[in-house]
Amino acid sequence: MTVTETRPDTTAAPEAEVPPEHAPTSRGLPALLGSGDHKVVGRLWIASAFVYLLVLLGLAALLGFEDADQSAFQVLGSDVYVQVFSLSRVGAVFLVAIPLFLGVATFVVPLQVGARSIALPRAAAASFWTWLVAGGILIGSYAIDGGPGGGDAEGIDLWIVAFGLVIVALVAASVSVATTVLADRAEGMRLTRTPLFSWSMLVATSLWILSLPVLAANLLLVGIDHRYGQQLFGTDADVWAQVAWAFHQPQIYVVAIPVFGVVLDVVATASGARPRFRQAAMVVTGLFGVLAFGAWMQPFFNAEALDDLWFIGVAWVSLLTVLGLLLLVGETVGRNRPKLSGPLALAVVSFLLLLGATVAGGFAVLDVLELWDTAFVAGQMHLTVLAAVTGGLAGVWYWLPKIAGRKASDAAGGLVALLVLTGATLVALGMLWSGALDQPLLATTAIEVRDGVEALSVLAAIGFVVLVLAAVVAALSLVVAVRKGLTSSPEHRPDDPWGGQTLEWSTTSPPPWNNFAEPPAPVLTASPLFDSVEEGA
Amino acid sequence: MAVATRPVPALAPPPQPRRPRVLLVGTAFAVAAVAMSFMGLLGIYVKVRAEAIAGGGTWLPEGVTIPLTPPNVAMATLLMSVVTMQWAIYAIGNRDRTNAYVALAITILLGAAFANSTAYLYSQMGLVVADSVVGVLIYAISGAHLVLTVAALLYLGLVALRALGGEYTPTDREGLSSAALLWYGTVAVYSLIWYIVFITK
Repeated sequence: MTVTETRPDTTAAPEAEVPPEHAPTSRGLPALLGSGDHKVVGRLWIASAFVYLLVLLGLAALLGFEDADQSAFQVLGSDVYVQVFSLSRVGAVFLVAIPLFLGVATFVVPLQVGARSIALPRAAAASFWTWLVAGGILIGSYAIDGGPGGGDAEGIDLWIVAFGLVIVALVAASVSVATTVLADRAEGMRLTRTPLFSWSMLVATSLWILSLPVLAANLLLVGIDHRYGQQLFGTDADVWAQVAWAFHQPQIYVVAIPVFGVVLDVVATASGARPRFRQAAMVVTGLFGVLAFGAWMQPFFNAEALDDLWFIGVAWVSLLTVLGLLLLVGETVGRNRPKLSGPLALAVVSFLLLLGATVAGGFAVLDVLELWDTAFVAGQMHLTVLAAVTGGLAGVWYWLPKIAGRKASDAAGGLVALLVLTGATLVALGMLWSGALDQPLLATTAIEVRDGVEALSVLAAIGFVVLVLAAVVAALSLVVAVRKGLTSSPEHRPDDPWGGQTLEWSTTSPPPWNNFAEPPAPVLTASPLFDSVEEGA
Repeated sequence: MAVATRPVPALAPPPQPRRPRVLLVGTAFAVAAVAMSFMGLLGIYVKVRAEAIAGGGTWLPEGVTIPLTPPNVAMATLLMSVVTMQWAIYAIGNRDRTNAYVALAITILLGAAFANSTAYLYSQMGLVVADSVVGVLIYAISGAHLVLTVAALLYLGLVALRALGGEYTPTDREGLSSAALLWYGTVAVYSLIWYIVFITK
């Protein structure tokens, strides 16, 4: 008898016929609602933050025009003024700036660190939907005369609950991102080899995880007190005072930490050079993050903060860290002249705004200038938040080939950067200067007309109108790019249109369901794609 | 003539790639967030109490007493649950599933007993939330901890069911470890509440 043993035929079927393991089979709305894919969730965060951005910039412009004539409340009533004031601040930080960065990070960080998915994907998806619904309730609470300054006690309670839920959702999303960076990196990618944007997100999310729960604790006490007896700080007038620390320095800087990562990654790619002092860049980013922890600035603990040497020191050292970033970026640019592009223009504007914010922050804490509790502080806050949003926008522009398959127009990116710079300069000039003229931070009653302040308020309002224009141009450019990405063939969707250095550029645009067709090769340096090019050469 | 080829030896399965410990790291971040929120609550409690006492007043409202026995029993209960939780992890590490099931069940029971003792304390204190600052603070802090305890118990219950379903081995017990981490965090937070709120009052 002849026995012939041969290997079974294990030839793989053509790739297109083999769906990836556990790949989703549903399509349409169910796929959107039930998806735990970080790419879907990241896109949802970004799109939703953009919608909130357009709405809130409009509100900010309205506030500016109200400030134009301080002898009476003509556009908004005095109560509504306080409500719009608080909504514009809560929205700018918790519905736009932090969510925009979380969206970019949810999409990009797993790709940058070579992971197949985000860590805790169900938590990531649940946090987005919780945030979206809670954000809607938060805005809705104003519609029923709630929120700080509102006249409806239950509306105020609803605002407190919704704000608390927004914070819980943001913290949960932060946990997913931070865990991905810490625990799900590709083989060989030590923490020191982590891409700089991922590192900045690790710093930022760690700070959000550590500081936002303190704000949630404040809200819990305010909520219980407001509902039962108003013994402590739950009176209607106290609600805003108890949470306002989250919108002043140093805490406000936590929203801008990822600007460091975006600027460093975008500049390195545009220059085509490895960042030489990347560990210094990591230290500077970490230091800026540590200094931004501001929960100790609660009014209960630091009513006399302006006399606190630590408070003054933090403000000025924060400025030094931003100058440190300038040195590091300058070193890279000095070696290789960067190619001009939309993301680079936005990143540069983002950096300039952050620099302006920290300079203004340094002056704001000097007791002798008596700028605290004036519009100067509002100008400083707006500069910081605008730096963060512009940084997030630079990130969206830079990673759009991965997000949507196609680049957005560089010319449009440049135009948006120019508009943001113009608008933000007008806003900052109006607010900082009127603050120097003793314009109060929150004018709840009609006040005496003073020379110059009204003109400066008009200037700030015009600045917000320019910013609305910038947001509209950005939204249109991104929509055009997304449409092109959806309709173009794969050969028109290059994997690496920028000449990137990190792993996300080694996969297709957009990436497949599980991110990489093959597991990434062991990472040997912080710029693994440069290694591949050099090996090939 | 047919030629018999050599049989192909069965290839050893490739080693499993090291599984990232995402659940444990994620839980550690969550515990850090929870700890910070309680730090915030307790910080305000300590500050308000110090100001009240410095102003010459008394902290607890008239007619309110916080008995020591229920919080002491609650603290002891939670400390015992730490031991049983560690016992469960140790048992899984030694492939002793029976002991692991018993230890997990006792931990959950002790957690439920803790919740019961907190409810009993509420009934004994005679403190009304709307009557004083103390009421707002104590109910906010201990109530938030009760919610945390229930969440941790649910997580423990889920892990126990998974263990009963055959999950967790000496080399793969991350789910159990992460539940234990959350439980230890819950106990650590209570130890602060016990000392600051109930012992030093």
